[in-house]
Amino acid sequence: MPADAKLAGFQRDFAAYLLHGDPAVAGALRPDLPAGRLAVYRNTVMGSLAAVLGHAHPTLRRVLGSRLGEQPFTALACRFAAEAPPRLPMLWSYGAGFADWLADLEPAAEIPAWAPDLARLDWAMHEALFAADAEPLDLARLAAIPPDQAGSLRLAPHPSLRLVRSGWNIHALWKDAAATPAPLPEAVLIGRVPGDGDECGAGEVRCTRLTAADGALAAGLLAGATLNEATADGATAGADLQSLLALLLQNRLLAGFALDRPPSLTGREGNDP
Amino acid sequence: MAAAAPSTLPRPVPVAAGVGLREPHREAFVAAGGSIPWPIPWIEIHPENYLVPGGPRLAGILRVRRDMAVSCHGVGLSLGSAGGLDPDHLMRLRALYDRLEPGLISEHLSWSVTDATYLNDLLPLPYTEDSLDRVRRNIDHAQDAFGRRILVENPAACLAFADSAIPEAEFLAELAARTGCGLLLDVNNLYVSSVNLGFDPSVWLDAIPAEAVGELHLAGHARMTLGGEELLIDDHGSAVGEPVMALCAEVLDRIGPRPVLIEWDNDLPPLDGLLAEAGRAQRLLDARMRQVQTPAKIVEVHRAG
Repeated sequence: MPADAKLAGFQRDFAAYLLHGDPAVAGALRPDLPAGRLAVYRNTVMGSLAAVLGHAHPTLRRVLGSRLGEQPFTALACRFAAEAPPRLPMLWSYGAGFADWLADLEPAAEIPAWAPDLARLDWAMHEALFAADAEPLDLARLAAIPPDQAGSLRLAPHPSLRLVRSGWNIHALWKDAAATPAPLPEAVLIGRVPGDGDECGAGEVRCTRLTAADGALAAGLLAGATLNEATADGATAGADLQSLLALLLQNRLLAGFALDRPPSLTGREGNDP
Repeated sequence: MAAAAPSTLPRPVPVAAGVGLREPHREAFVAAGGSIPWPIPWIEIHPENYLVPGGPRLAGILRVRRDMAVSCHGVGLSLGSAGGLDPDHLMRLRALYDRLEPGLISEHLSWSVTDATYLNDLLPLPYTEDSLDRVRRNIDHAQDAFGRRILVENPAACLAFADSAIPEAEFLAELAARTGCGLLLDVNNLYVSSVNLGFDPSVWLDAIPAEAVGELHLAGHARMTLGGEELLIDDHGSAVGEPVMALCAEVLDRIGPRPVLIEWDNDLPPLDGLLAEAGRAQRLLDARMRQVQTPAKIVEVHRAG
């Protein structure tokens, strides 16, 4: 298809200009119009992608901005956009790789060491807002489990539930504009708490700080370990299973559970989502 | 899992002024519930913003849809892509349209996807026979996938290409004739392009088949100076300018009343400000609706006067 091939080549050249400033496409312009007008399109694309990344990473943008000014975030966002432009036309989904990209930057000293984790926290909150809806776990079903079987419970998290573990005080940096970055092993549990109305999709995203031990326990549970398996992990020494379960249940961040045992004759013990 | 939305019948977009619903105003619309206190009977959304797995944004638009007609104005399908349309994106849009049953669906005469990269702008096409054939096939593909007719919008341009051989309005008219698609006439885009590229919007309008036009758009634009020359930028960041309102009046006089949408995306005003803009558009429409619907006896009154 030579006709489409010519148009495809033009579009490839235009894209190379928008993302990298490669001027090859200027040769296709009507000669009476200034080629400088191409810059309007490049500024729109790069500026709006930086704005999209900033919108999805408000904490990182704020904390970086308060310490270094607005320019470093914008420059990083534009570099990321040029290297990893969107693949999907839904811009709410753009930026999933930003935190890992920041973590892999060479030289690492170019950005503060806490920046990738702060980006992970922001992205987890962003994802939680758009995650699928699910009916919260019916507490009566959980209460009906015999105590001697509780250790073999596996939890099914609400689709919005996320956990970010960090060596920095990312929760304080998110919550308090006056906080300054400091090394502190901790974790943040993120989830969309259903609203009070009957609208299944309503609700707001909340963040709760966990100790590093509680974070290790939550990581095990969210990865599908039974309560017994998760608490047996050495990293969870000192973790408070009761409080963690209460937190998940009170905020309706569990969608179901399964009992890790051979199926009974009735086969009705689970509540898989 | 969330229950599937109850099946809905399409609610036609009325011949009236509507507004583009943007995120900062969503909660006010949802909170108003069934008794929308505002004089607007329809809204328009960018469907890509609602192609989300769940959460309050999607629940909100489904709620608003119960109370008023919704138009879906796509920004990511890329009708001008040389490589054809993304079948996954077509299916995502189809699923949303099946839930929302929009009264109108529109896309742009532009491109934004190449080599599976989404360039978040509505980029200009060279108007050649090759492009015309490619866009025609893409529109056929989209209308088949949606099972619905689409409207195609004229772009705002500050560039044109050396090998463009077909005037833009004729290009659009050909697309309408060959695919059965309708046209979304963006009056602000027409004005911006006519100033930036130096053509007469009245001549452009002469080539547009009036019966194909299903909707009008109005928006504000900005002025910038680039290389010593003034350029208009379609930034949707201010009230509709007087020259655009005047051109809209001319369009309505030529083609008759149509649904008119106020688009405002940057530096959003409070909701009242947006609704006031819709009021300006509604007054333009009201004046023409009276002419169109004027029954004989009112004509007699004029004669008597």
